[in-house]
Amino acid sequence: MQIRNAQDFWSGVLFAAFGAFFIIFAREYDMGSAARMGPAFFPTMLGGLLVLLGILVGARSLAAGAGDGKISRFHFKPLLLVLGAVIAFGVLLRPGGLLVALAALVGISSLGGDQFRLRDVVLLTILLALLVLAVFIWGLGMTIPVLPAFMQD
Amino acid sequence: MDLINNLTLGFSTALSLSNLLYAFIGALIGTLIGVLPGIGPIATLAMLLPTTYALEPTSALIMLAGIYYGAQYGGSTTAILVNIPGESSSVVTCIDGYQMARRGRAGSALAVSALGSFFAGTVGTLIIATLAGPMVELAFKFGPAEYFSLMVLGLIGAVVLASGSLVKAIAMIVLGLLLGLVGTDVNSGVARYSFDIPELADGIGFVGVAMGVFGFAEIIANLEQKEGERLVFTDKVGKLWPNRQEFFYAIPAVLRGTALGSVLGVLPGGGALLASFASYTLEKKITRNPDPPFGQGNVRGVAAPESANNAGAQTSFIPMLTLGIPPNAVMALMVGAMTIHNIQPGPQVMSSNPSLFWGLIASMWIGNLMLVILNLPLIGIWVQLLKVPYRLLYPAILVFCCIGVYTINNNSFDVSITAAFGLLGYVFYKLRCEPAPLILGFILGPMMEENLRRAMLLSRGDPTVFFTRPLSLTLLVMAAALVVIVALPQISRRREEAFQEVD
Amino acid sequence: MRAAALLATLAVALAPALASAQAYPNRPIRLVVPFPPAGATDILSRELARHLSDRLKQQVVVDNRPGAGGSIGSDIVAKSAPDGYTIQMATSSTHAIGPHLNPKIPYNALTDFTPIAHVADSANVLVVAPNVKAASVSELIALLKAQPGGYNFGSSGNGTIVHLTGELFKSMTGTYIVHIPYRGTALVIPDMIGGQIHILFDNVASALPYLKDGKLRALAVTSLQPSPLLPGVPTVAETVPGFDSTTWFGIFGPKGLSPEVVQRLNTEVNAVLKNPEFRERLKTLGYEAAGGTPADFARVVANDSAKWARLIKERGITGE
Repeated sequence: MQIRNAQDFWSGVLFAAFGAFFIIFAREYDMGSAARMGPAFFPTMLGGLLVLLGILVGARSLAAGAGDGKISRFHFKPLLLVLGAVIAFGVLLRPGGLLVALAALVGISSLGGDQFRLRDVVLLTILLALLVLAVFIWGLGMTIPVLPAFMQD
Repeated sequence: MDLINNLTLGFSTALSLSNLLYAFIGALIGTLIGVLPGIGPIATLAMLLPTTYALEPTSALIMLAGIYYGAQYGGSTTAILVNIPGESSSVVTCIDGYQMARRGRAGSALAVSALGSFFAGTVGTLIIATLAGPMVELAFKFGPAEYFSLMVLGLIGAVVLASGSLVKAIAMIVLGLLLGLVGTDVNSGVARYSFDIPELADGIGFVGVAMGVFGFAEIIANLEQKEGERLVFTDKVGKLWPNRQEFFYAIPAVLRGTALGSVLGVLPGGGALLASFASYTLEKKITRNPDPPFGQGNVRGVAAPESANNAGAQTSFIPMLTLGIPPNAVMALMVGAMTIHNIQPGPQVMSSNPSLFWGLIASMWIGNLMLVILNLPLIGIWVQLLKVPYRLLYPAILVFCCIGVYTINNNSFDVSITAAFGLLGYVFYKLRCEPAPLILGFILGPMMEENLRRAMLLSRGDPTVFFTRPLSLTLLVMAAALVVIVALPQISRRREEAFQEVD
Repeated sequence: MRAAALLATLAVALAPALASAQAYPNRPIRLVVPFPPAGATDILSRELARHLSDRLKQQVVVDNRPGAGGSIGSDIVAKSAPDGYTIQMATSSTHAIGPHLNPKIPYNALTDFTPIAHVADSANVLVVAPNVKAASVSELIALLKAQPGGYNFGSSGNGTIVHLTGELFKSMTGTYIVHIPYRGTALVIPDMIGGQIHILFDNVASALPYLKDGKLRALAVTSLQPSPLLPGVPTVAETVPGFDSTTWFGIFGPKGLSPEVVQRLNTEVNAVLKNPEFRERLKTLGYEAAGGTPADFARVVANDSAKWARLIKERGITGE
């Protein structure tokens, strides 16, 4: 048995896994009947369908006419740095304030590219900070903490 | 003629200097809001509501309407430029709009979008002025059974959104449906799949999913290439305007989209959403040998949905103006604004306060006009923005996205959710699973289930209700026909392959 | 020299403590609204905040923290410092109903909060569809008894006031109406006109626009007194004695708030409630000004909570 189309094979696995996940956790809720559906009914049906579809996609990836589906290399550096930067923003926003969170977001995500020029990053951070202050805080009046918590009254 | 008199009254109100100013301010603010990903019209309108207390009711509504449309236009801009749908109705624009941008046709896409929307807005305004009554009657024929059947039809059409494997597209739709079910179930009050995290009790937000799967994934994918090798969008920018061929193809698409959007927009509770991707599906299915293929930057894939969703946005005013029923949250705000000024929206507004009613209608059109005037020169600026080196551009995009997502609920959790979907989106990209069907399943899933269960509750458990009600039956028959139309090319292709192998 | 330096240091160190003890409030106050912007609770809160800011000479800033039926925002306040600078607008669903429906709510509505002031009340109205041949509550009850299970009532969701008011009606009149939940009362209206839903206990303010049209009719209001917004409409209580479903809105702070702060806030809120401009605004929004002492408020909440707890248990309504 040869995985001819890796993309489709792993897609199938992913789908089946998701389907199973939804079915398993639906067991906490009431199924009801077809006439009076409970909260678990629809998710279970759909989950089952997804599992079947996953198996179908996976099976076809093993067959002859599967087409070529090589999975290109995962680039972990941009993946981790971009998403890490976003998470850092979320975590830092309340305790650190908008400016700190923004700096972290720009700084960390910039590391994810293949060219990191410190001067450009610093300038960009300052520019964006000013822009964001103007648009969101002053312009739209949104209640986002700007300064770190210990500096607020 | 009555209509002319009414429109004259309306225009004379709307064209006063102060009202024009308010329309312009509203359109400007709305565009900015729409361009900033994440922040929707709701949050903005809420912020600005107190300001409108101070204004005359007509002026206040004119400004609010301007903001509403502006946000719609702005949402398409981000969809085309950075593959982030500003609103749920812009999701479809991402598919071909962004690809047009990648081919250096960003200016054209933006122009087609603006002009198509303007045309649709004009038609929509005329419809409100003339056909409001009969259209609302149509809306009342739609009960839960009809909505369910309509959504089945819509979902089958959603399969067409994907250009790749049919089975994978269906799977993505189903996954989207399931993700949409996370949250509190309307019928039982149970919080599903929330794992006791209160932030999940209301479900996963659309913005988080869309931004993550479309926007963040795209950024990470772009970063795979080195700066020098990366395809720069504006290298090949020709003129900022659509060329003759694009115009030629776009115009019929605009007409079809407008028609579809006008009808679907009247349905309270989500008709306008369906409009954009229904029109995309229509275009894709009736075009023989599209060049470039749909999904790679065909102008019809931008013209039709954009017109459809603007037409839908206009006609969705009808239930509000005729009955006081707001079809979505933004309208609800406008009803609130009217109430605060002691005006009860409803048919009596037409008779008791004609200058308000017709002034509002006239100003809707003016708002659309302003937006076209505003947006066309802006296209040049946007295209310039795309020339900024990507290593500076993408952190900026991230900043606006993250802030935007945060401000929806003032909750950091939403930001983390977006990151999680960014990861998922990147995985999908690697596995060549297309995200658009997923998003549509996500939006339609809960509505579908709700209507299914509600229809069953109303029929006291009798499933034949979907077939005995004539409108519902018609929709289901159309859905079945659509299944055939969609599956046919695949079946015949497989037959060909089979025959070739035999040879 | 040293003594002077020591005194100076002591003065500087103690000054903030002295300052905050003396002049409350000496910095902006955060009014948490556990609902999304531009909703009914939010608009009421913003109006209140505006007037309170004037009276307190400090900014009262609205902070929207929506989610989970109001429990996210309420939890934030429950867990915040009792210094008087974090308070919330609460309503029946957050403190009188929610806790009974969802045992997993992370706060205790009775013990984790300090009641401060009762701001306003709003009533619901019994609306019927065109195809319901009843012109009064007693005629409706007769119709319902003649055809049990033949009628539907809509709501804005399982466990909402709109739903529970309907259940209260069924309980107190001994009738059976099938509950059909929706995501918001606005979505019920088309189905009422289309003839599929017959009854709706909508919020007065939301109902006014379509009631004027005449297609949907108001049979009665659910409060004990008639509503000034619906003159001529009787109360349900006239036919069903003791029937009362009123949604209250009020300010809470976290537990352990000092009595001086509570008194100050209560006094100012009551003063705002007497302001004619504010009262006018309340009226347009469909509310009636309330007021009273913190103890009054605590009593209102406790009674309301007990009533709904009883109903929820009796009817076996679950939100979880």
